[in-house]
Amino acid sequence: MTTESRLEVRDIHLSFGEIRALQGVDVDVPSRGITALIGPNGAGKTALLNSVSGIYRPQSGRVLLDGEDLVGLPPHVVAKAGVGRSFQHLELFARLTVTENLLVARDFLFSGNPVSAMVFYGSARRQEMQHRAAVESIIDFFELWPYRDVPARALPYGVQKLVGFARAMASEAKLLLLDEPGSGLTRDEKEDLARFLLRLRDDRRIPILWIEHDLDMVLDLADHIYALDLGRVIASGDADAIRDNAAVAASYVG
Amino acid sequence: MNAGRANAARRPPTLPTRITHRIELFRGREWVWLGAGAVAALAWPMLVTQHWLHITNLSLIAVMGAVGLNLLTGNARLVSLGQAAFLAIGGFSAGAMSHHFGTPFWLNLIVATLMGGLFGLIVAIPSLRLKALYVAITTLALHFGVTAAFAVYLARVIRSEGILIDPPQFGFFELYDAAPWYYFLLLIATLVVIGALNLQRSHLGRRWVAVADHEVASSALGISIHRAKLSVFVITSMLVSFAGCLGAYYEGVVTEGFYDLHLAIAYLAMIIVGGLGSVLGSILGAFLITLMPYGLDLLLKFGGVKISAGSISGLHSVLYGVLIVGFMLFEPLGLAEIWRRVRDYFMLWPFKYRPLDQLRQR
Repeated sequence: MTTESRLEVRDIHLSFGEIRALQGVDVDVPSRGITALIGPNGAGKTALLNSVSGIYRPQSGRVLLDGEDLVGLPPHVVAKAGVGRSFQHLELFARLTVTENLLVARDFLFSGNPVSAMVFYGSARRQEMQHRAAVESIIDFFELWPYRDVPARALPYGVQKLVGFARAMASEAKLLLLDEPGSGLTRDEKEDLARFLLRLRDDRRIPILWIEHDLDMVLDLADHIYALDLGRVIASGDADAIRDNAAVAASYVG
Repeated sequence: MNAGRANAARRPPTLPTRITHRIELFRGREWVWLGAGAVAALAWPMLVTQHWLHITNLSLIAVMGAVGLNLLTGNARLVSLGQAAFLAIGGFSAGAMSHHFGTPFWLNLIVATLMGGLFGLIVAIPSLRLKALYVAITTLALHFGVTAAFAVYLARVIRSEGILIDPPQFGFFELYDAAPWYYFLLLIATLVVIGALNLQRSHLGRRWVAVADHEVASSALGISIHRAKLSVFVITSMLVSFAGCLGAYYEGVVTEGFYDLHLAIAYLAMIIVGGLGSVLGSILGAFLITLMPYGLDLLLKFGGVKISAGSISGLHSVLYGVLIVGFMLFEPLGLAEIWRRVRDYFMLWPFKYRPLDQLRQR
């Protein structure tokens, strides 16, 4: 196991009126490796991700990114702090091309006022070139070459999921939150996804917090696994520990 | 299609990744067309009568206003019924400045633009939490507030139907005749169009589209929704008031009656017919909608039809309606898309599709 944690979620409580979505959840994402979140529908997986990225504001608890508390910060400030995020339901910008979708993730890295944008000469032009070059390297990484200039709304489903994943890391994030990047993918596409996850872990060394329903895939790939049910962590550990855990089996099989 | 991605993944890059190539506004043969267009535009006053030159000037002013509105409504998807109000803010700022202080043209133009930005900010703040249709209501409220205020101002302060504005002075030269006005407006409109195209390809233009397409996703990617909406409102309002000020100087008078809701609808018609989100569409739509009443008159004259002035204005409204509904049904992407298809047909003939290395979305 690794020594330091990139993300520490401490005793998070989140409720919407009567519904208690998270009831004292503790999760650690080490600075190396893939951490997976599993659990049945309604277990609180997405609620946890939304609490980290500032979309929901937990009533109590702490979310520490490299030791700094993120609770209460608005989503765009959390993103600037280095948290990249993908969504479960294809939340791409429909009218923008793949390249432009990735460029939006780097939006906060641009500087300059509206006047320089209107003139588009000198610094504005240089920045655009530089960020496009950075985005090209991500397009290379995810092998998205044929789709560069295709508007997101015209992409096949599997490619849309992949662009959502690519967009999450386009901001040079130091932590990736992936919400079911594998749902609805074909076998081929899932194999591609697995390849990208492993390359991110081993080549780019970006820590990942990954929600996934495909238990086999999680057991194969994840270094650390947290099983959630009804807003609580019911088990955690490596693949072997989760496979043999009676509580996990019960929550999945019923 | 399923195996398609797997195969595509093993294919080497199919397109060249020269980045300079990808951010240019125009390239290759497009420059030839632009050059031809520029020559035609410069020769234009020698080719047409004063009447049609006047109509061209009105169209050029409409182009600037439509470009501003299209950034707001086409790109950022914030439907504005406040177009006439922002034009009026530009016109009345210039009128009031020159009436009370006798300030020069360029100063009034700057003040008019800044006033547009200020009112844009005022209407943007309540719109921050609102979406499409509700923004239309807040801008409609602005429209009635502003026009009522200007009516009171004319009645109580000016005590007249309107404010007369002297033509702009550049040294000893007075901008009065249609031809000098044409060249002046052509220059300014060209700069506005280039500015708008640059905005669209900059991070700012992308940000506006992103926020309009998906708010939660854009904020999770580091974009402040509030700042994005404020900036699009302020910048486009400044542009529209700038156009309003030039329009007032061109007419030589500002009256309250000119800036009615009908004008706001006419601008919406321009961008819908021209093509939402397209600068080229704003240009084509502005020309078409400005020309329409004159074209209709011409048609009636040739047809030998005599109808009263009242029914003509009714006929204009019918035509707006027919145009908007027709385009929404048959070509939602507007004149810009028709233009693109026609251009491709001629440029690619005898082929039907672009060669692979020229493939790009525009």
